[in-house]
Amino acid sequence: MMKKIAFTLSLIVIFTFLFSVISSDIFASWKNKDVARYYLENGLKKTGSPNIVSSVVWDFRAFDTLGEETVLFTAAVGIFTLMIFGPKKKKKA
Amino acid sequence: MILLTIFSIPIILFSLLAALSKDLLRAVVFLAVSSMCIALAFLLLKAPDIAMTEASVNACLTTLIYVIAVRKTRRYEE
Amino acid sequence: MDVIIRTVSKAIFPFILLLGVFIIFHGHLTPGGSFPGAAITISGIALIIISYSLKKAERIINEENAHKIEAIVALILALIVIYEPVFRNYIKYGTRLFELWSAQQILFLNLLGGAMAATALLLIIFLMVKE
Repeated sequence: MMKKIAFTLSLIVIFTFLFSVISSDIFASWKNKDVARYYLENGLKKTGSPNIVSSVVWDFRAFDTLGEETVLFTAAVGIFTLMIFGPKKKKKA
Repeated sequence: MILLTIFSIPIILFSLLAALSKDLLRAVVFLAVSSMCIALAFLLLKAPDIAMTEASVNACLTTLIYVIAVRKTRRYEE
Repeated sequence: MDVIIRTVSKAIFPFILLLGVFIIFHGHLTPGGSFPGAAITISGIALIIISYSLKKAERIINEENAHKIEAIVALILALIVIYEPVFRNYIKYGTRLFELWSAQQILFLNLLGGAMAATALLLIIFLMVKE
């Protein structure tokens, strides 16, 4: 019990330290982010919607949203299949 | 910034409590509280779309499906 | 269930539906989109399933109709997204700003995606409760 708590706490501390070290340089500058700057500056002009998240999800990257809808459809069909072919009944010998 | 560090402590605390409890219904409630704290952290980081999606999907529908699943099997682990 | 829960859930159910449909329709103006809007409308129907029985919720939406709607909407969405250069002249309409009937094809696609996600979640909840 004590071993589990010590192990998880040490994992949390190590990963927070690593994340704070990495994110201090990459997430703060506009050096390598040409695509994000293009989406922010030309989003309103090309699609006509002030919500840039919607324009990225449905206009610039519509294929990824189609893939997510496929995942939802597969989940619903998968549960339906599991309910039809239920658990096997035990044979009474 | 201060509010973000204050509201990120319950995330770790409730997730730890959910993983270490033997009563499965109590673990599901702890997961719901942790999801609401994550949604609040998303709001403090200026992302309202993801906060709305996380709050409505993970704190409302996932908890419902987990409660139905726990009700059909055992409630106490081991 | 109790009398208080049944009365309050029956009284608050149309407002939850109204909020969900509002978030789907105004996906290009306010934060939101298709996925949170669908989750909120299905939460309203799940409230009726919990406080009353499954049969009373089947009077609102039948299960066979939900299967048909899901299949048809999935086909239309796949065709529109994959063959976009063919439909470009018919779907992209108008170039106004900050109004409801604007934002060339995002309003149309939000409705289709919201219907698809809502029927999929509805089928998952029906099948989990029905065992």
